[in-house]
Parts: sequence; structure tokens; C-alpha cells
Amino acid sequence: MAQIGQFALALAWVVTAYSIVASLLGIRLKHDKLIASGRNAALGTTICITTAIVCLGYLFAVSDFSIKYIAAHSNRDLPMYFKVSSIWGGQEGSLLFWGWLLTIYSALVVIQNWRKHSAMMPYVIAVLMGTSWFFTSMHLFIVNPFNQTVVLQSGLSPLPFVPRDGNGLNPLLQDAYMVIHPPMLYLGFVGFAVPFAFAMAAMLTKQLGDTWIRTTRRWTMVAWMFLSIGILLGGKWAYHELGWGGFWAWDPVENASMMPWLIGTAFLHSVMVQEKKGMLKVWNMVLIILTYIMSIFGTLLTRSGMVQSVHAFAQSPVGGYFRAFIIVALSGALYLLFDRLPYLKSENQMESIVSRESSFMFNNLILLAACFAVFWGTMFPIISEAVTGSKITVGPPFFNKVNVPIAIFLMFLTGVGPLLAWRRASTNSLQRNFLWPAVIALGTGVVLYFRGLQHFYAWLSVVMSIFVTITIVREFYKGAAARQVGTGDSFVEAVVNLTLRNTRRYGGYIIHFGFVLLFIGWSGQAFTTDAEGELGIGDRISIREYTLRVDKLGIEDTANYAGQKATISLFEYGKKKATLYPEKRLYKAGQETQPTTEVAIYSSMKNDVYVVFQGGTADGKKAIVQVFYNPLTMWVWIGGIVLVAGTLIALLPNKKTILRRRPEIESKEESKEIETKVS
Amino acid sequence: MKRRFRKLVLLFVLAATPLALAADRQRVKEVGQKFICVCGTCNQLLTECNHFGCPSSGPMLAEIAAELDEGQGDQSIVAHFAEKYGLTVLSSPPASGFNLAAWTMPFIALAVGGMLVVYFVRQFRRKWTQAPANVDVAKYQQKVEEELKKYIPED
Repeated sequence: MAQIGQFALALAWVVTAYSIVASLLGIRLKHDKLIASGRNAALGTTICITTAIVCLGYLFAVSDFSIKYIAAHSNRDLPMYFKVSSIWGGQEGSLLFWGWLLTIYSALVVIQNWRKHSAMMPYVIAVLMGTSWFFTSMHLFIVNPFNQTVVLQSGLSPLPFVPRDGNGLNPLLQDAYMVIHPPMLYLGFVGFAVPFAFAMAAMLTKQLGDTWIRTTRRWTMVAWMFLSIGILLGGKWAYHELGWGGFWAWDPVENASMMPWLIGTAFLHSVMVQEKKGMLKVWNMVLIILTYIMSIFGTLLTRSGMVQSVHAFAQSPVGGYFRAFIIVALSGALYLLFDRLPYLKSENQMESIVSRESSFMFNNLILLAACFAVFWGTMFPIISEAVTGSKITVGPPFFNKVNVPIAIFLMFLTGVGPLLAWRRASTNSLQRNFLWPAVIALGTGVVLYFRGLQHFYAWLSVVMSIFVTITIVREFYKGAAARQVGTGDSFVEAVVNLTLRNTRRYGGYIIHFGFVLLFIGWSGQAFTTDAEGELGIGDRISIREYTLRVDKLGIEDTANYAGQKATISLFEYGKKKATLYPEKRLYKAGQETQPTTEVAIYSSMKNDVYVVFQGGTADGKKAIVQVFYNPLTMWVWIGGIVLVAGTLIALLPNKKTILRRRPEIESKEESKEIETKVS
Repeated sequence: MKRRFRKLVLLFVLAATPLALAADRQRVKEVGQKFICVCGTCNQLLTECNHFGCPSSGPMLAEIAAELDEGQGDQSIVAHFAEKYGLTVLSSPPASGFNLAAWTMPFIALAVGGMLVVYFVRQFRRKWTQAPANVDVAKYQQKVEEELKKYIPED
């Protein structure tokens, strides 16, 4: 099976290279059959890499430890779903997985667009396959997942060797969220390659209208959605698995996923300006190039161990190759952009600083500033060491201090932007749109302040959230009310129809509302408290309105791990709410036996009670238990769900509008024809 | 017998270091946020380091507690830790010398970006007002300016 996988990789390498050459040569020679052959080769790559990944999955399933990657990341007693998800549990496999998703995306793009955009597609294929070829080269030559397990002997050639059992999957990765978090994240990272490829194709073919943007609009949204899901699942995983009570620690690897997300978000907004007004064309090119580069850079950060990180499972020598690829891709794309500048002239002019257009520009500015702050903080240890020679740390307090004000300002723009008129907003309309939301938000803010919400940023964040919520609700209300007059629908029907008629706009509002909820969840984290105690059976510990009582301390022993488990009753105002089972585990496979924490969480809309079993005392009679009281955490996850729902709505086509508009457009064209005839 | 032995081993391995913090917990937490655990494996905030049997975080927190008990302020604890463990122990870069750049650059970038946005909008507007299609508008604007001058005295 390993040989088949190996062969599939080698074949993919050749086929991918051929696809690039055939596509480019086909365009140059205007040879249709060659172009078609390039396309078929791209589809062939998909088949090859799929074969390789199926082989790898099979090798994991049958625990073939003669393969180094399998021996290093799996063991016999690992449950089957973890065995299969171990495919992306380490360096080699996760890069193969990345490459595989790229080929799947490429195949879908080819199938979807081949007929529609025949001029652009060969270039799109060349760009996608260019990226794919880089990854295939990595799989084949640098981090081959099908390498044999060997024993190194001094002076002799390495000897093949089959260990009796594997090293096991990193215990931290043995978690349901880890099964789905990497695929989501990678679907996001990889997805941005599609709009990038179309952008490059648009420049190469000089078809620089908004075709490339319209074609890739949904692709970008899908990539953005997956990246958002991936980031949130990562947070959820950290919250469940790392046991320090929070979900975001500004770790370099977390930052790596944040950066393309921030620029991707800027891109999603600024393309609207190009679609509506034909402006910001160069800027959009810059944004999509940066998004793509940041996706690759994110993979580099995750996979190279360039910056120290808790994700120590991800270090290797791929860094240099990634850096080289980034430099080549970036300079190529920027050269092309520079060369095509004359074709990217704006079709309209900016008329006022207080307008929708400029609000989009400020939105972009803030998102880019946030991205820069994350980038700067992540890279600063390296920069500082290069300049001053001494190492320093840039930890969570730095990122929080810098990014929280930026994020709150972004929230403010989220409320303001969508209500500003295109071209220029009059003072009158500003007053009409914003006076009441601002008054209500501030009024509620004053009340909340006197009821104890006195943490400045948390307060500001809540006030902004209220402001944005009111503006969103009013948009729906106004739209629905207007629709009711025309159609006689009930209010709910009107809201639904309104949303379905303009899915992108109202889906967008729902996404914004998801962010409001996320912000509220974040604000809650400013009020986290904790308590810690050494508890014997029957002992209690209290935190706010909760009391926890240890009922049992037990030992468990499974094939995969052994550990200690506490049974704890949770009381809220003296009333029993739940029984919690926090654990400390020691996984058996592998030489390193670092214990891991399995926290127990009681979640409600109001707060989470997060219980960590720190361990037993040496005599085994007492447990050291840490309890966190995390207000409003659930709203982060609810916000995430709303955000995804909003994106799914925005992805729906505007069916009714299309049906209604067509006759109008046709009749307009007819009347134009009549006019010209008359004149 | 074997099982019992394993159980004992397990208990020993999983035994946590009991925490003996004399000073106010909340204060220790506050100050602890300013540092990174130096054990070299976790790279987490000192107060968040929770990996098992960590040789550093327990003693470091106890050190903070002791110094707080002595009545030392945040500043002197920070200075002491930086001297003892090196600059890497600080969870954010010190706001002095080159490291000041860590703090200022994001906001400088934001300010420069903001100015660029305003500049571009202005530039766009100027082009728009000077565009030949809008000659009339420009003429009227000039007229308005002249009229205004008559009524508003110049400083």
C-alpha cells in the first residue's frame, strides 16, 4: 500500500508539472487540445493525491508501523476514528492533507467554470497547479509520509525496521474537536487559493472587470466560513483540552490562522465596492494577494516551528522551502500587479469622507491594522533578537492591549458602515440613522455601569454591541415594514422574504450579529474568577453562587490511557445542578508520558463552571481542584453558529430577485431599442 | 499485586505540588500575568501554566507571593524577575529602547494608514471636482466662495 501511495505521489508530481506546462504552452500556441490536456492533467492530479491520501488512511487503519509516519503518530490501541484523523496529526500527513484539499478545490473549480470562463481557466489551472506542485514536491522530496521506519547504524546504510507498537498520537490531539478542527482550518486556508488564482488569471488575461470577483465571490465566502469555523473550533479545543480556563492565548499558531482571516474579511468587504462602483480595483488585488500569502505563511508558521509555540508537535525543516515559495509567489504576483496597473483604473470617484465607500476603506484599514498588529507581535521576538541581540517574549497581554481597542473600533464601524449612504451621507440622514441607536446604547451603558459593569473595555464593547444590534434590528424592521405595505405579508414572512430576496445583504447583517454575540462572550472573559483547593471526599469549595463537593476519587485504566478521575457534585445556590467528572490522564503509548487534563465544564447561558483536576496529593486521599467561573462563554460559541448561519444565507442565490428583475431588464432594453429606432 | 503497584506508580506520577500561597490570591494572579513560565515546554503565562509537575511555575508563583508579602510593589518584582530569569520572562516586551517599537508600530501603522485613506479620498474628490464633466459645478462653487468672502471677514 505504501508503494502505491509513493507511486501516486510521484505520478502526481509529474502530472501537476505537465498540467502547468500544457496550460501555459496551450495558451501561447493557441492549441485547444493542449489546453484541454492541461485541464485533464489537473483532474488527474486530484485522482493521484486522493489515491495517496486513501493509502495513508489505510496504512493508519491497519497500523502498519513499517512506515515512519504511522509509527510516530499512531498506536495499536488508538480508537479507529483517531487512527484515521492521525492523517493530519503530524507534519507530513497534514501537508499531504493540505495538498489534497487544494486538488479537490481545483477539480471543483475546473468542473464549475470550464465552459463559463474559457479564456481565464487555463491560467487559473496554471496558478492552482503551481501551488499544488510546490506541495507535491514537498510531499515527495522533503516530508514524505510514506518513508520507511529505519534504524540508523553508524557507518552502514539504515536498516528497515518494524516496531512492535507505534509512538501514539499526541494525547492533546486525542479529542473530537481535533478530528474536525484541522480540516476546517485547512479548507479555509486552501480555499483562498481559488480567488487568488482567478485574480492572477484576470490580470494575465487583462480581463479586469469584476468577472473574477463575481465568479469567486462564493468561493471566498466558503473559504472564509471554513476558516472562521476552524478558528472557533480551535478555540473550543483549547478550552476543553488545555485546561487553563480560556480559549484564546495568542499563540503563534493561533495568530497564524487569524492573519489570513483578517485580510480575507477585509477582501470580502472591499470587493463590494468594486462590484457596486468599480472602485478599489488595485486595492482588491493587493488584498487577495496578501490573503493568499498569509494562508501560506500561516501554514509555514504552524509547520516550521519558526516561532516558539505550545504546538510543539509541529516543528520541522520545511521552513526554508516555504519561505522561498512565499517570496516567489509574492514577487510574481506583485510584478504582475504593477505591470497591469494601467488596466486597473477606477471607474468612479470618491465623493465624501462620510460615505459607504469610505466606510469600507476604514473597515479595511482597521482589519489590516489588526492583522499588522498580530503579525508584528508574532514576529517581534525574531525582529528584536536580530536588532538588539537579546531575546524577548511577546505574550497574550501585549496582543490584548493592542488588539482590543482596534477590535472595539471595528465593532463601531460594523454599526455605522452599513447605514451610510453610497456616495455621500447627509447630516440629516446621519442623525436619522444614528441618533436613537446611540442614545439607547449609551443609556443602557450608563445603567450597566451603575449595576457593576465597570471594566472599561468590557463596558465599551457591550455598549458597541448594543448599538450595532439596534442598527441591525432596525434594518430588518424597516425592510420588512416596507415589504409588508407592498405585499400584505405577515411580519415574519416579510422578514424571511426580505432576507431571501437579498441574501448577501441580510446574511451579512446576521454575520454581523454573530460578531455582536462573540463580542459579548469576549467581554465576559474580563470577569473570569477562579478558586483552588485541596479537597478530600466530602469537602467543598465555593465560587460565586456555586458550591462544588467532591464525592469520589477514582482510578481508571483503559487500553489507551490510565488516570485519576474525580466525581464532583455542583450546586447552584445550594441546589444540585450537575455531576462533573474532571480527569487527569496518562497516555500509555510513546516514551514521553506527559499527563493531560480532561476538564469538566458546566455550561449555561449566564456562565461556565470550568473544573480542572490538577492532580491528587501523594497519598491519593485528596484532590487539588481548580474551578474557574467564566461568565458568558457560551455566547462565543452561539455567536460562531450565528456567524456560520449568516454565511450560509449569504451564499444562497437571490432567487426571487432574479425572477423579477429579468423582465424589467428585458423591457428596458426593448424600450432602449425602440428609442434608438425612433431617433 | 501488579495492579496495586501500577496504581501506586500512577498516584506518584500524578501527584500535584500543593500550592502554598500566603499572599492574596488575586494579587498573585495579577502580578503573575506579567510573566511567562520558564520551564521551556509550555510558553504559557505563569498563571496559566498548568502542565503537570512543572518544575518552574509553582516556585515562581511562590516567589511572587513571598515578595508581595514583603510589601514589594509590581515594579520591583518585575525588575527582580527580569534580572533573575532574563528579559524573556516578561510576558510583554518592556516599553523601552528598541522594544518600544513593539508597542508603537501597530498604532503608527494605523495612523499612517488612516492618513492615507483620508488623502486618497481627498485626492479622489479633487479629481471629481476638476473633472471636465462637472465644469459647471466648479464654476458655481467658485462663485459661492466669492460670495462668502464678501460676507465673512478674513482673519
